[in-house]
Amino acid sequence: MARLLLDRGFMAVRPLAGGLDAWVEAGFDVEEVDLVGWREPA
Amino acid sequence: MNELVAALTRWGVPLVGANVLLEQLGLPIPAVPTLVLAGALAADGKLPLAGLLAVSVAASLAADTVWFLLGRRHGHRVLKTLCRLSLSPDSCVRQTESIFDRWGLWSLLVAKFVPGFSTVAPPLAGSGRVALAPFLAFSAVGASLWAGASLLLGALFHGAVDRILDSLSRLGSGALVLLVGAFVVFLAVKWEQRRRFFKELRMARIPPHELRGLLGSDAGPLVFDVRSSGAVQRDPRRIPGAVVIDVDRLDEFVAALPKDQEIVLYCT
Repeated sequence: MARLLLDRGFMAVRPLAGGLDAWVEAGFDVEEVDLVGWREPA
Repeated sequence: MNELVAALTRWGVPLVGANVLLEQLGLPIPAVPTLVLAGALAADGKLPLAGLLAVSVAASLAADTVWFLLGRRHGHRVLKTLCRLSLSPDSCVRQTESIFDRWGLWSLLVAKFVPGFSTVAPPLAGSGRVALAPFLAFSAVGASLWAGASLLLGALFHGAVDRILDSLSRLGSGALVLLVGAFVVFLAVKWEQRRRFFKELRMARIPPHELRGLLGSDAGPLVFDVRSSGAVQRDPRRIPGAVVIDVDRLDEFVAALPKDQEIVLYCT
């Protein structure tokens, strides 16, 4: 996925180390995904 | 080389079974060349075709069952471990989840033909709480198609396979060295690709505490949740403000973004 974005010319793409699991394990906040109306970029 | 063919003729069925079992358990020992060779020997009347097919399906099912049960017991952690060990880790989990989410158990019919998917699909099915009986039924059909196609290929082209074996026989023990050398080169190339990929990832990754700090700033990055839809439904949590991306519609999502936009993405 990071490669796809880099291939499209984006210069500052970084994967999150450990993914969502690492974020949760670090004790940081999460929120529920609205599965009906997923937010799109502005 | 003659000795190798003689051994395969004598021990063909258990050798094919062992090769299929080890490959399906995840070891990088391709079974298709062995199946094709065995198919050619079967066409020459030196091995029983039905026995080869039966042992291949049984070995494949045994390995699939092990992975299925591990997936059921340990969930997504098995997938992560498998993909960490995979020779193609960059395409492992996400692609597998996408295929399985889209096609469900039907994907098992072609799983053996898709590199990487074969070993990852069973634990994914297990972690998704698929019942064992339908899993085994679909896996058995998939294994029959895969092993049957390889054996049939060998049987159809047994003349060509025999000529290759004759050529290799003339090389004597050098043929074995050649085959082992080619296999070692194959493994080395894949391992180097894997090493480079992980090095690239280590260099570019952002740790959670750094992302959290950036999210609190004015010029924080855009965060993309790039998990498969099935993974999101299984765990509907996200990092606050993250955009859940459908990879098939990636271009729509990013079309309006400036190329210097900082983007952080995450899977499970």
